[in-house]
Amino acid sequence: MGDSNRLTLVASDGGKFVVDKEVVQMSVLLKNMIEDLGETDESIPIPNVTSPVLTKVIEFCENHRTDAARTDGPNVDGDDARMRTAVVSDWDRQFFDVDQDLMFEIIVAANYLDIKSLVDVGCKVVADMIKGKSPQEIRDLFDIVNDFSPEEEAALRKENEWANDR
Amino acid sequence: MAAETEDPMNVLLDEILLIIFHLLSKRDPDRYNYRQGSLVSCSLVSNAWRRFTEPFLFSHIAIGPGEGHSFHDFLHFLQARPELVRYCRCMRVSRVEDDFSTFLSQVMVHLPSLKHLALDTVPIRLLDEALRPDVAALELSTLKLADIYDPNGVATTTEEDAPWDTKPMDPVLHSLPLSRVGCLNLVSDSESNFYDYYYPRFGSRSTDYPDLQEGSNMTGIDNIVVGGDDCNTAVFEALEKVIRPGSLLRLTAKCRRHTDLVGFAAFLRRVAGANLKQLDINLTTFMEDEQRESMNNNACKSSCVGGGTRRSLMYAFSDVGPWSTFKDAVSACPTLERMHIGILPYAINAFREGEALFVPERYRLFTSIADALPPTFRKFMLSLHTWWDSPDWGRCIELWDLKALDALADERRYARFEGLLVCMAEWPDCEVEKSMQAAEERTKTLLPRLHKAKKIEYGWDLDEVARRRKSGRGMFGGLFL
Repeated sequence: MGDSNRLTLVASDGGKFVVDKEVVQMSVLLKNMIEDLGETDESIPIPNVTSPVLTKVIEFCENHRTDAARTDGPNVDGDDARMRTAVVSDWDRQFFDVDQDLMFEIIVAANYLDIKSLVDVGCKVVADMIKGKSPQEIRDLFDIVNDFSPEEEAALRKENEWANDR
Repeated sequence: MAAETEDPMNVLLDEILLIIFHLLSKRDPDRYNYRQGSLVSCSLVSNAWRRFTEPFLFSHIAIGPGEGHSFHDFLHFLQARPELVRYCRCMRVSRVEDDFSTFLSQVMVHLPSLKHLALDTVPIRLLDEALRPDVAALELSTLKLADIYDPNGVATTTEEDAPWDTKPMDPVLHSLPLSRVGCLNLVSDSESNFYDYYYPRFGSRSTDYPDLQEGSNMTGIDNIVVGGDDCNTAVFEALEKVIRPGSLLRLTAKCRRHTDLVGFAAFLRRVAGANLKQLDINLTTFMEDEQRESMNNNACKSSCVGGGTRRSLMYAFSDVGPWSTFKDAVSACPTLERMHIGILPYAINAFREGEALFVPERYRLFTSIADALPPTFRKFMLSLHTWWDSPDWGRCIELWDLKALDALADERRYARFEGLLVCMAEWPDCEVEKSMQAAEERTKTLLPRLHKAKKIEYGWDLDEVARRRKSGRGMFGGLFL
């Protein structure tokens, strides 16, 4: 019988990661799986997440393992409030200072593993990247092709006069 | 239309993109002027992004001369793009003179998502227009009324010299289609900008509205916000006539003067307090002046009669003054669960400039409130306010009798009490973290039992603090829970 406080996660490419259960339980998906499995030496496969991404996810969870009490505080009323209060620390910004593909994969993995704090922080980082930029600057940032014709874009700009976000 | 292309962000699931655009669009439903433009930029990036952003983009629509859009313009927009208008959840209509009837019949009833409606400087015509069955059927979470006037009435709310207690609020309240409104808000944007203090939200709540009762058109209202010109005895009396006793669950009030506070307490005692769960009170400078003046007068009188030091006299008479009326208000709420109070920054300047004697725990507000809180009480929220350039802000805390709140640690009396949340609405321009730490230290000292029971929390926005520190800027507001 191995260490009952640790378990092994297996990434989609076969990479194995031995981690503390306490850390892993930041993932609601894994927490439920651990509860269902009980005491076991079996590895848990994470079929949708590659090793580089899982490495980053575990790094985030290890760094935020003491945050649970804070997010359970009485000031949090629902998802909207949770998103508003999600704190993006310097460490978090550094954590997401990676290439865009990896950044997006981390967010997707966090969503799959149901790690709300990582999803929130990731989305806030992306939102902050977008803030204050023009449409063309956003396209350049994310390498997105403009698929509007000039006439369409002009019509949309006219419609946007009704948007209370000008 | 050009062919839609893949973009790298397609790796993100729809629900994640929606979170991102929601973050870019986040705003208070009552704050229609919050604009940052990022969402508009996103909407012009590509067809895919357009589809994602449209529900957020058109969720808030404003109509009126100040917005550059008339009713006529909006009717055109509605006819051209009805699918966009259907996203509208919050609408503000301002300064409209003649077309209100048309608007009611042709626009409002075609907005299935509409939940928050603000009418600002709009004439309300009586029954034949506003109480149309189709309009009365609208189910709104919030109806906000600011500078509403009756064009057929004698007095109007727009007359600058009109006394506060002569507003025609009574007929207005009776004429509006309020049967399916959850929250009635009588605070105008300009007032909230100028007088408002940090207004935290405990969280929203959904309600199944009871069946309407004949003869009362406000039976669904369980939440009322009143402030500024409309937070006076006359308005409370008008409200008393139209709401169902015991139906109110939440009340936010910003009484300017003690006479208004007396009307507020009477309103709670007679109809509103019976089942009230949440009470939000914002103090004002006017009332603080009255309180200080009252205490000074009492101290002076006593000094003339009995002598003694000025400091001891302040304590001897510290339980009198307008704020003692808050005890009456709280006593009228036997099922109260949550309370928020925003305390003022202004006094510190008077003391700093030598206009008044600095006496710690001078304002005996919390003593009077703590004595009256019922056993049902669960959560207290305290907002600290200060001039953001004041180095003495911490002394504000010493002026207040905050230590009275330590009584909430008594588990026999307050078995359901969960905690005290301390927030700061406005921050000093410098040394933010030092201020934050000082506030925590002072609070711990003043409330040792709550601290020991781990029932004090702090609503510091660490994210904002980090940004400010990085940018070298100070802080002002922005602490939304």
